[in-house]
Amino acid sequence: MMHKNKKFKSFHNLNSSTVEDIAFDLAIYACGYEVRSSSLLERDIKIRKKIALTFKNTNGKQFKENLRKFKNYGFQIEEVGVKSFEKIFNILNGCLTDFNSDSLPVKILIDYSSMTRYWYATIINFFKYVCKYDVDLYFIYNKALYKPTSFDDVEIEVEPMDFISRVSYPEKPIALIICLGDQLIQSAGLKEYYDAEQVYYFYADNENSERILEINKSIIENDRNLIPFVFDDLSSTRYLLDKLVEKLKMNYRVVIAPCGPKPFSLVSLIIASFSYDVDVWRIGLKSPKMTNRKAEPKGETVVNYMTLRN
Amino acid sequence: MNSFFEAHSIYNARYFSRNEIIDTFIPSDQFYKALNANHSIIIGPRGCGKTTIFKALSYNSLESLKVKFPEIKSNFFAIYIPADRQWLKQQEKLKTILEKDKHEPLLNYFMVSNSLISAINSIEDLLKESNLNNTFFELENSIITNVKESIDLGYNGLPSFFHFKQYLYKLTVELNENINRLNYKVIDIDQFSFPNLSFVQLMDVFTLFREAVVNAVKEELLIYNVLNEKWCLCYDELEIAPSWISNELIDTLFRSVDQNFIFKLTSTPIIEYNLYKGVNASLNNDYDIIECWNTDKDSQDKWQEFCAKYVKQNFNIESPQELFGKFSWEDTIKNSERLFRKLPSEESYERSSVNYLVLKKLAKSDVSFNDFLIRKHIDPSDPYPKDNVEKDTVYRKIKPIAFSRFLFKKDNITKRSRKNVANNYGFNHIVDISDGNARNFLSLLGKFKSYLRDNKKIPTEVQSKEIKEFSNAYYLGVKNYTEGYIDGSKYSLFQIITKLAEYFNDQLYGNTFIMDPKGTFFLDSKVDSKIQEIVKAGIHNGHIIIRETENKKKTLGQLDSTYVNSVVNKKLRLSYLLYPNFNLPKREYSKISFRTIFNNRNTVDEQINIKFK
Repeated sequence: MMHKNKKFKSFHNLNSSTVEDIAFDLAIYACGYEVRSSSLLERDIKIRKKIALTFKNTNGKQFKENLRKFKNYGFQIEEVGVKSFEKIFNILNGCLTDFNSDSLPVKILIDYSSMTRYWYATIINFFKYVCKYDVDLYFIYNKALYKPTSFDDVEIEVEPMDFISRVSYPEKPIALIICLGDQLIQSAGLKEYYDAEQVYYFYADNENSERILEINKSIIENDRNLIPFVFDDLSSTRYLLDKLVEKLKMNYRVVIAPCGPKPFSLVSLIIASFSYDVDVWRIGLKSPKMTNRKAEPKGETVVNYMTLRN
Repeated sequence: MNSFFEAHSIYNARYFSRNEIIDTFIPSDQFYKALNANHSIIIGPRGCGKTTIFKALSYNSLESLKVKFPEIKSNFFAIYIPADRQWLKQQEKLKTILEKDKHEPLLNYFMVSNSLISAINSIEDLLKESNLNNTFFELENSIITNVKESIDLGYNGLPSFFHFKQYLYKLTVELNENINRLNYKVIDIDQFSFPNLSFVQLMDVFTLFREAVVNAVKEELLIYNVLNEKWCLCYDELEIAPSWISNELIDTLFRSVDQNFIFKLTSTPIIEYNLYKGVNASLNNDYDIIECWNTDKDSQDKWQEFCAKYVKQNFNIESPQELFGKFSWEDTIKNSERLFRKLPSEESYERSSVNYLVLKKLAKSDVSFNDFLIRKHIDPSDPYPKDNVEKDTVYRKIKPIAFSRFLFKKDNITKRSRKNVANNYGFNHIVDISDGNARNFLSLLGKFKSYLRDNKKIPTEVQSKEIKEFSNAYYLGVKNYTEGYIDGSKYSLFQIITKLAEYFNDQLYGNTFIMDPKGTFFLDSKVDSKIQEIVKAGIHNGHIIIRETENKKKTLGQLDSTYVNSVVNKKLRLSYLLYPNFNLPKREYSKISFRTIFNNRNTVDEQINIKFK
């Protein structure tokens, strides 16, 4: 018999220290080239099974250092490609086979700070489509010290995200929701690409806001649809985005393009995964230079908690 | 008028309501051609007005336009079938994640169902606009009942347009979910139910559909007469469709033998089509190719007329020339140099004229120009034309170059160049630099909306500043054009345009005065295929304009030498919209091989100081 999709129930903010009071059945981290990818290891979090996803063919001093730490902390290291959902599914399936169903819901901790969007989209989809248990997903994001990225000489591409975007009819015009990042080329490229009738811009309301708005001023100067969001209150951000999407859906096809920080991508992916007619598109570099970003931890984390039920 | 600008920050006809189309529409030459009951491919770059033509052809718009413009006549029922990048890219994505035997029927389904939804929308609009009162519901009921009986869609819902469309939407949502489930291996292919429509050809469905609709409205003579006309299926945005869709549609067009249908498709100036397939199909040569950009002098003149009419109708301005003025080199010089201010404005080569004094002054400060005059047996200290022949063959020809050098080239004596020269103004100038592109024209006009609203003269300095800024933004915008990057290509579109523009700039302002500078270019077959693709992308987006179409053929079957696939050996120039940014005078100079410019690294790259990857 065909197994039904799991339903989205809730999404909340959590105090960062709360994760130390929870016994997790599984933790999924990413071991990459960023300094922050291993910095949560030192926290005293109770985890039964530990997985670290890592990119294929990654090298560099910081990566080796991170890898050593993950191994020391007893993580099972799994090499996966940027879009290899099948492998991630197999890994997650393997982790949950010996799960004791008496202690439902399953509690999973996901540090998505150093993950690609595809990885955490795949993890969300695994729990939506495949996992038979009720689950509580705890997303933890380790903020990094801001360092501007320079992409003067890049090749950009725009594409719908696999399995998050779907075919919809072009009857209605497009409303585009962009989360502004620090590369004008991305936001301007998206605006140019779509000729969207309505464009809404989200930006993180923090110490970098002015800089981000300045970078993007040429595309936002005539727009009043600027919406700040607070990093530490993703629950409200999700609510705000969800309400906007619901309102726009009446007259538009909605496309969310998260160019900015990952927490916004997370809420976008959650909304799109459970709404059936919202697209998330990525605009990015054709050949990303992955090892360029150090992303040193700022010492602050954002924790959110999502419940999925049968 | 002001609300028009406020309502549309992006002038995309797709988002115009029917009333906006009716209120703002001016029938163009291309529109009248599209009214012919022939198959047509409407070609042109993005923003040139292809969608506007299609939306104006839609039955309800057309009926209102016929009242406004009695010369409009048509004998078909047009259905506007939209597409956009999002829709097409979503389908392209499907191709990459599903195997061929799975994605082909699904893509076919999406194309057929999108066409059906559009047809239902058009029929619904027709009934709503026809003041049918209670008969509306009877006809609606009868149409959907007939469609249900004629086409096996598995639809068992209520006989209403709304419910029928909801059924198609719901099928699509289920399909999308099942595609994910299939990929995630939550279900296997045996559990995947393909919609019935996915195995049927577009024209098979439409033949049955039309028959069902026409039979259902037989009792309502007015509606029957409209729907019993030929159906004109207007497929928009073929230019951005992946090649399989354009091939499929053009093939359908080739193969279509049902006389009840006409196809109208839009495409980029370079039609992407697999010729071998086309050549093998049985050709019907009765197709119109309608060019929607300025291909020659004649189309340029028509564009001027069109823009003047547009401004008159939509902004209530009788003479835009009065507001914007008329560009002349003489006035430009007079405004930028105090010394010339009191001289007469008319074009003359007398010793007291602006022309004479500019040439004389330039010869003093520009050695190369001085030498050029000597070579032409003209005295640099007294550059007075000997006769009218010399005036026509030398003086008029060198005028824009000499004046541009005078205004923008660094003075050899003072080592300075003029900074704020107001050389971009005049209504004709604005029309010309928008290069036949309605979206660019409206965007440019939008820069002067407060003046237009108050019907106030616009100072040349204001025009020049705005146009120059617009040109700069347009140029920098090329960077954001995602199709301007192709994996493995040596240059991006932005780099190509920069290098070409700088080369042409150097032709005008370099150390040597050139009477016949290069200003256009062509690609020969040895140019890397990826560069050719990028240049095509530039043509599609209007950054590059095809100019040489004298050998054009009128039938699609013979199009291979003109518009199909290849960009090789066509005379190309940069959009005039880029010219103000590079101080290029709006002239179409002779052509040079692309490879000559790009292989000549030492001379060009060093002079223009561009760094490439």
